[in-house]
Amino acid sequence: MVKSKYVSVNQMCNDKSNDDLLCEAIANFCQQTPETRERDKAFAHLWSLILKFQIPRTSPHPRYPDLLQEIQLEFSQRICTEFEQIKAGKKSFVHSLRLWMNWYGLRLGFRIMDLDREDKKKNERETSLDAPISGGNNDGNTPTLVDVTAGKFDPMETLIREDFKEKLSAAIQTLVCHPKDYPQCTCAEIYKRRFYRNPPQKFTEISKELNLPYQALMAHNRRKCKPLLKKIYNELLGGE
Amino acid sequence: MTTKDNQTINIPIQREAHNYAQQFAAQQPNKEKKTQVYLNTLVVYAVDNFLKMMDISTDLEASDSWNPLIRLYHNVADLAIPNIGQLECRYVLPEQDEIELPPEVLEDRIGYVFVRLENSLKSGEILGFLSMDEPDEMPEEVELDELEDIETLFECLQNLELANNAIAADIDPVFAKVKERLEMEDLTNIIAQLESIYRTKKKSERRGAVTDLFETYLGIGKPESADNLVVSLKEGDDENGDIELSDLAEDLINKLAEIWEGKE
Repeated sequence: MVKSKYVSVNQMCNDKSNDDLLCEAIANFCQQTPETRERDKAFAHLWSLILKFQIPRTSPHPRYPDLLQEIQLEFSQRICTEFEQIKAGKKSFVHSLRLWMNWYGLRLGFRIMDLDREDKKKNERETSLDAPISGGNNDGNTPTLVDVTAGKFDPMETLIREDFKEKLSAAIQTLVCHPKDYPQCTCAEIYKRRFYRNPPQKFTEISKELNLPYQALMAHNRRKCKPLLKKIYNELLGGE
Repeated sequence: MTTKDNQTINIPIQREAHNYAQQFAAQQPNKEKKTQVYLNTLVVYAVDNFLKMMDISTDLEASDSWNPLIRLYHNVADLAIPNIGQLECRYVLPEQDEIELPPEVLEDRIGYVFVRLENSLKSGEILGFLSMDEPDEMPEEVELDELEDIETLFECLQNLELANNAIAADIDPVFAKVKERLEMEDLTNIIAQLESIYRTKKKSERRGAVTDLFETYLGIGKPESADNLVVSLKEGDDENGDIELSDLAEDLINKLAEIWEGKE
């Protein structure tokens, strides 16, 4: 499932020769006198390496070429001053340069996301004229940290009543599902120990006290108990 | 392991994150819990988006933070990474320099990512990563200037996937022996801790650390007088009983080290 990115991480780690080529090209570009033909030539070589080593993220968005042109300009303006900082990264230089160009430095990845978001917003405006105003959460009414810590962010009424936890507790007690050969380890028993003890009992301790292998406990919890918890919650609330 | 000069990464907090945060907060019984759930949800969603951009698959629906009952009772901010485990994503307020980890997140995690929220709640800064240790050894308070670089997370995820693949393929008899001894069908739950031992301990300390880990999962208490130094020495095994278990621990960590060192 997560193969593609690790291939890229591996490539990043193996890019020693690419690192050298890129570092040399940057150093060469930076030592040229501004606005000279030599500098333009050095930059053309450097940018061709940047593209060859697939440093910038790509996008099928129609405005991506314009964005890449902006990035190219910003890259030429900032790379000489930020070169040493990028080189200080722990992994290969290629990896550090990708992080800098796409995320914390030139933010190309975020800017591609912005393009996609603008499209989505435009489509939503065109297709959902009857969308609820309060549910839109546009930039103007996104709560700030002060709002959230002061509790001034909740346009919705609290959905659960005082007695809801009691009803939940009663419903949890009905979860008698258990792993084969371990009837003592019901979901009810696990969550009695997790929810109603402070601090919650550790799974390693539950495993020991209920006398079943840790893995059997964790697998049962993951496969059976957690989905059942969701189910009873939604049933009590009439659907989330 | 201190990375004071590490590069932090800014990540945006999308409007969708606020929509989920409002929805989940509305399900909480009081103001304090609403705030906790709101901020936890923002951070989990933002990290989810960040990992997806890095081509790492995630599964919000399988996360405890997306389970209405678990988030009602517990202070959880985890993000499930399929076939690897749960990554805890903790928010950090602008002025905080240390973070308390609630007891419910001290086990069943592959590690912790910390995100400092900006006052606008429109973006956050990934401060770094903390590897999973043995549940009993996990610090309840984390100093933020002692975090590992975020790149360690990627290295860790890569190692976990390599290990899980190797174990699933049963490429070495040591995996079957460990499964049998620990009575585990798969080793996913302890791989993160083994990976952390591999990355953070000296070679000479690994045998003892893995033996400790095995003993935790087997429910074997440590001798009162034993400290980590004693169990980490091979010649100390006689005093501590189970040489076979220590040998198995050493075989396993050596095999994993071989896999991880050969990844490049």
